Amino acid sequence: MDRRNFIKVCSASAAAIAAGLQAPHVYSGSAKDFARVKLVDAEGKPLKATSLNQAEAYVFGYPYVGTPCFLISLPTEAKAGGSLKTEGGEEYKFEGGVGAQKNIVAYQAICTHQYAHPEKKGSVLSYTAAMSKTADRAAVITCCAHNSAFDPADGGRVLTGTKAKQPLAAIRLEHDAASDEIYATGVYGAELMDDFFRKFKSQLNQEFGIGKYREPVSGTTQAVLLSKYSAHADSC
Amino acid sequence: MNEHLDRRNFLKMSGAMLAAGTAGCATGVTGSAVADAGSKSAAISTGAMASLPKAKGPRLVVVGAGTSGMTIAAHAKKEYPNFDVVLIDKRDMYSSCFNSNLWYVGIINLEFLAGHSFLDAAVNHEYTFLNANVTGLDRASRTLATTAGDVKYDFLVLAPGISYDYEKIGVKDVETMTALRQRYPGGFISPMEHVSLKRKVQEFEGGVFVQTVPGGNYRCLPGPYERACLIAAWIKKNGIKGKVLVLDANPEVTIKKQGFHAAFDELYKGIIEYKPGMAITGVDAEKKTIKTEFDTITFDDASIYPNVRGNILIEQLGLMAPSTKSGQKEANVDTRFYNFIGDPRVYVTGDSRPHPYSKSANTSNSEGQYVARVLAARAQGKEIAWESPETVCFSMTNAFPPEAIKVDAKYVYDAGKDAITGFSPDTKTWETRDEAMGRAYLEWAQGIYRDMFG
Repeated sequence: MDRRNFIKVCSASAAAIAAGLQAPHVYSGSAKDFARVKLVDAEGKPLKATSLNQAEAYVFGYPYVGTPCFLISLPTEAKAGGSLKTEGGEEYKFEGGVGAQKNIVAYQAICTHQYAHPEKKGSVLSYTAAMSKTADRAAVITCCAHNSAFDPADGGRVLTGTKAKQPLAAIRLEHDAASDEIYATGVYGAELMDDFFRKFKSQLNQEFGIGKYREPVSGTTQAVLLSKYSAHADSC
Repeated sequence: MNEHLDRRNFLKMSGAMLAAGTAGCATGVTGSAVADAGSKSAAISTGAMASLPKAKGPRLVVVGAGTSGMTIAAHAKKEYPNFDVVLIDKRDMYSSCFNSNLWYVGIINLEFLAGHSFLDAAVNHEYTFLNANVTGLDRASRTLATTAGDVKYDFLVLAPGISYDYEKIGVKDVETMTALRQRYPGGFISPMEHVSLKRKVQEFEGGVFVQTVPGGNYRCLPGPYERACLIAAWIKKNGIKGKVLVLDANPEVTIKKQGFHAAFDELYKGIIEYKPGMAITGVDAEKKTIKTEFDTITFDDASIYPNVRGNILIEQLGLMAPSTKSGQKEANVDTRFYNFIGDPRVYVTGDSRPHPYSKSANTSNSEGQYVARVLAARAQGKEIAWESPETVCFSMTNAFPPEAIKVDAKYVYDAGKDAITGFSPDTKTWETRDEAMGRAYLEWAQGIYRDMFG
């Protein structure tokens, strides 16, 4: 079954039956399909949903080498919420986390305000399980550059009063209940990716090698803790 | 300025303007050097149109390529794709005022401040950059005169920033003003000031370095205190037998006071001497003395930051608010929508606005994004709701290692008074310095550069 057909037939239960998978991270709007990629650790072993670290996010490249994403294991279930909308008008619906606890979510780790993102030298964008002064709550993604905050339990929605104008792009995940493995399959609200590439071209060339940042990820993608990925991981 | 002369010459020398002759709102920039009666150089129009591609939609002309003007130019077309945007600046090389303190002690390099091209910004945001000085404005015919020729506009935004007001520190003679401007620059306007200040810091071998803090609503409220901290860090690191004397016209540190006092006390005891309530009443540039109401202070080197006012261009173009509205010669604009009172085609934004907002990069960046939406709406005959600008402002209180504090403020609009009445209740400060905020400070700046240029 290819991704296109998967979406077409996808009511959550039908998909679960047809593909033998737990109800995936499905939205009512259309996601942009990318390769189905398995999340693995630094040694190449598949990440297991039930043994993820909940204190901080993992970083993985998806759908391109140079577009970092956060994989987050939230303390509680990420329940289906309201509709989300990008500045460009793309509308989609968050339908909750994946995994046995429905608490696993993933977002593109690029602040939609002015594109701060994890780099090797450091990251001012991070998920914190602890209390955030910027957001006045815990379990939140904050960008310390201009004080934006996003709710990972609600589709990456911008928290009221903070700077960004649109949600973090959401990564569509699948969880294989039998193996406990996690796959990324597509992106919702990814309209800023081209602009991100344009604005960071020289830095991305330095970080990943000339032109490598825009190579699509396929097969597997390494997900490592942000504190290992970046020399500094700052929350606020 | 002689307005009668300006108008006469304006009309005489600009065929394009003749139709507007009865409107009585043409004004020109003369300056004292060209104000003499009969001087042919008093022209405010070249009499020719600037060489610009033909406008393909409503033309939005933005004057001033600082944070405010660049943000509006970058966002206007995104908000309303029909806009044909022209950005005008007298500079042809950018270098930001924000972050410049960090350069003096080597936290950042010059490329961080200046490695941003007006050409790239124009290409990336689909506008035209015109390198020219503004010399006059005829609002009746919607014509801006520049040294590169006249430019017609449908909407005009003036974002020229601040000028210094030396008279408010008791310096009224042009000789002393010139000496202060050249020898002891305030360092809050132009890149050449930053270059001079960097040299001063790096050449400082001891004695008293004075940093003054003006009264009123000056640009970058924490800037002078931050600079004092960084120079003190430099003195400390290099074992220089010297101190930074902060002469503050205000009764207390004007923003993030806990964070600054903590740095003064914990990091720079004996190196920073902080003196509040020291309104300057005169300076002798030759004797290197500063007079206050009670003292005469001698210095070895200094950055003398005088009071600020709306950029003199605002006054020259006849857009200045009455003194009852602005004590700093700022523009007479609508509190919420920034149009010059009575003219929905002309706007003044950034640090020439009369609002009590913090005159900072983040204020201008967020305000500029909002004003771009105001302009887009008005170009389509609509209005939008007022939005507060936001002031996210970092200050580096240590250099070795870089550690910062910050504030995040919005503002309250009182419809009854039609005025901004203060900070919003959700204003927060982070006043315990740390390296994480030092890193976020640099990313803060990079984000604003990306927004304007990328």
